[in-house]
Amino acid sequence: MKLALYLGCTIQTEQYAYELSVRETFPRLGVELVDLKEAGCCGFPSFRNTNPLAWVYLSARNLALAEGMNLDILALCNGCHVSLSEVKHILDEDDSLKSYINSFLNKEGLKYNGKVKVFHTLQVLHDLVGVDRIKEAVETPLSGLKLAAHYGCHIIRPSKIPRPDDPENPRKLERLIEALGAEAAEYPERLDCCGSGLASVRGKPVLSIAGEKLKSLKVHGFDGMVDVCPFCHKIYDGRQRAISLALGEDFGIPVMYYTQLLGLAMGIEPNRLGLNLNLSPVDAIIRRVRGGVG
Amino acid sequence: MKENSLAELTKILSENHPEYCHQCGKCTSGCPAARYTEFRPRDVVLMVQMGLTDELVNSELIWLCTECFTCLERCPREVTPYDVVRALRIEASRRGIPPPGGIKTLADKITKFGLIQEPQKVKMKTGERVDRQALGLPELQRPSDLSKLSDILGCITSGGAE
Repeated sequence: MKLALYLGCTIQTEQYAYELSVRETFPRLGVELVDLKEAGCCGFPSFRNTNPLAWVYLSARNLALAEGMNLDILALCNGCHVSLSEVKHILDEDDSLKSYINSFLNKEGLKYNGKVKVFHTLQVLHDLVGVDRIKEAVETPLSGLKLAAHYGCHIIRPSKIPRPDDPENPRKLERLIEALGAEAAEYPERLDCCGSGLASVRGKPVLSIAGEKLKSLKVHGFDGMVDVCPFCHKIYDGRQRAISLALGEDFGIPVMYYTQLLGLAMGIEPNRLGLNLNLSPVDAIIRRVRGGVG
Repeated sequence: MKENSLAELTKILSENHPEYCHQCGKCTSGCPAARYTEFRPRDVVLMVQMGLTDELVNSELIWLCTECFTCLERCPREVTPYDVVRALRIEASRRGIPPPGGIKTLADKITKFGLIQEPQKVKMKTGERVDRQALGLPELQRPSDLSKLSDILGCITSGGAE
């Protein structure tokens, strides 16, 4: 299986751990990744809410680039995935908008026909690679770890356009965590938003919104949290110290990208998965998985 | 052509009916922003019903939604408060009212650089700062002809830049 790897903005300019761990793990599971070289922002930040035609153009441009390579597209970011999926949905239903957008794509030597499928990390691992193949790839089962799945809003909503999992009761991330031998337990705040959409307007409420989930994970005795979106990760991992300071409570919840956890279970060396970049206390998990080796 | 396409797009974006809302509050009970800010999706819809669009497009209120899409998913009356909020944001931009915070800066950066920001040097747990190169990551994915892209975004634009 071969896919065009589309990184968007946040992953390739600061969330390097996600990119590193995908590049390490996917090829070992039979997924060949080809960089979408001329790609740019999907338009979800800012343009989608201020200048819809520019947003449609930016997403269509990335879809057309993949189409030119005859490859389906893999978006690692939840925001990029919803943006590309929504624009595909709009263009495939509206010929006049499609030809208008194509008249501009033509200036960049591109054309959008609608042939490309849009995949997210979660879908490639769960639907294409499959839980069985992942189980086979595990070298060190993560038994005894109780982990919380955090999907992030845009990967499950809105269900009026195709989304990778159910809007009210998604299960794929839990199944993927369980495939590694860990327990993926329920908790009431499972589907809650990280609040990052508010960060560029008002910062303080974001810390309170995200803090609710961390508080719950601590109360329910979780060993860590697993995510698949760079924006969510930036909040729960990168801002966890700020959240602790704002709420006056130390949470100490290790937060990892699913692909980092997967790589650990596959026996890959932690630094190759970018685990030295996580700012939450992930060492507790690394030690439990790798014992003396880590 | 542009007008037609924009009208089409606006129609798709605004297939919502604020007049159907009967204030059940399901949107607001699931709203993360409502717990920690003055934003209440059902209040926004009520204000639209009352004809207070001008007040809304001029207010920071419509920019406090986190875009979690929960109200859109749960609204039993197909009002979808999120779509109302998004339509108001687009209308504010059409009238040239700048969005609050860093939203405009992001748009400018995308137009000039192709991405929302330049690659950052990030801090490791050890305190050391590293970039893509130090981590052995390949070259950045980015449009090489940025002047062409920014021309296109300027021409295609439907917002305040007209």
